[in-house]
Amino acid sequence: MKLRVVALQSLIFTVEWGLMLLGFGLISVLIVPYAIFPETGSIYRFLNAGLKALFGLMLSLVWLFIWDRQVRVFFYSKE
Amino acid sequence: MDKVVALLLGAIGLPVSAVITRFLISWNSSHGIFGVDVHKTEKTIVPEMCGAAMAITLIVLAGVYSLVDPRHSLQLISFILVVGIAAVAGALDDFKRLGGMFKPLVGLLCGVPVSILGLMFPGQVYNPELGIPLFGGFRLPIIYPLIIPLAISVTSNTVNMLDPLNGVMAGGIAIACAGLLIGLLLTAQSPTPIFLYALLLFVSLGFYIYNRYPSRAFSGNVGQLSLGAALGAAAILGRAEIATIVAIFPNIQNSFFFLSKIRRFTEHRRLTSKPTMLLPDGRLSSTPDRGAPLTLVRTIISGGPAFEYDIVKTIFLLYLLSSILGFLTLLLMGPFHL
Repeated sequence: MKLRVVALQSLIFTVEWGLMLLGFGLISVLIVPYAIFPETGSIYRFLNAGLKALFGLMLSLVWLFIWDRQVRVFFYSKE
Repeated sequence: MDKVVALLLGAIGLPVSAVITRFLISWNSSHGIFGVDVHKTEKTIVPEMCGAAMAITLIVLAGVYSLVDPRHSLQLISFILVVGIAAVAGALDDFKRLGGMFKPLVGLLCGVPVSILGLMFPGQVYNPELGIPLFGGFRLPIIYPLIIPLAISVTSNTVNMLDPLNGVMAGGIAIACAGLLIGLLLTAQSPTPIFLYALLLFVSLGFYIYNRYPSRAFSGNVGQLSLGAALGAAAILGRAEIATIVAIFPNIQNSFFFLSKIRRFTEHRRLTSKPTMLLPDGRLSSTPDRGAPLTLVRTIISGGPAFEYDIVKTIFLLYLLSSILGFLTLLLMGPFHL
């Protein structure tokens, strides 16, 4: 059993879990309730939905980037 | 009472899956359907495509449950369609060895029936409100049906990618589903998510009996894709999307690092630089090749070589942790209706 790996991976998973909850919290509190365009027509509803999805995608990329850095620092720093 | 019936019917998945796997071991052996266990020094020959047993069991028992409780038949029909398409595509890939883009595209196709049925029968297949731990949730009426095929493609392919060693896929998914099932028993107000996750748990365990180290049956793409697609469908139909992602963190990490290094969809067998190598004493070692993908197994043995069985135990421990986090996610979401 690789206990060092388990300990470091546990740390990574827990950090990523916390960040995930924080990210979804940010989206639900700061992004979803507000409309960037006035929702007067269906095209604006789609535009708003698209922009919000884009913001979610950007947060996901940041989340994956942090994950990537952690694994590289913990396991592949010598490489 | 509904929850007990759902749980019991899901539990039947264990003996059914085990019996069908046992049958497929004999049938596939007699029909020359074999794979080589490349992580054994003696290169053992093992019957392939026995994971079809999981797909068959998932489909049959979901069908039975739709007859037992017809209120949820639309959800179960979409579940059956997802698993069926994934199984056919997986079997096709096992026989024809199709290209690297085939599986992600088929994964997208698997989710289409859920989106279409959901748009045809609003509120009866999935709920477009994403449950968020601690913050309630928000409705995604436009984006949600578009994300469903993508989500099922991700789960089917990520499960497919993390089955490098004996028993890892079936055991890992069983551990992930066990934590989610306990969480759903405490939070879900409808029996369908309980049935789906119980079914996934017990079907995986039934197959694990023969797939565990040292394997007597290999899953093949047919089992990997159908189990992964079923997990994605269960997450969407059972409103446990975020908790399911958390519970399969080991898969997410493995796929992300594989893709970030290779930068394309490709088959493991077509990789020129393999992430691990087998030492003469039977241990697995990380490859010195810098171009090889950073898979989860390679991460585990980055500190030194290890025997396959020890690596599998380490992976299971990681699944246990992510399963606990998935369970906590469900608790933080609180009680919910479909």
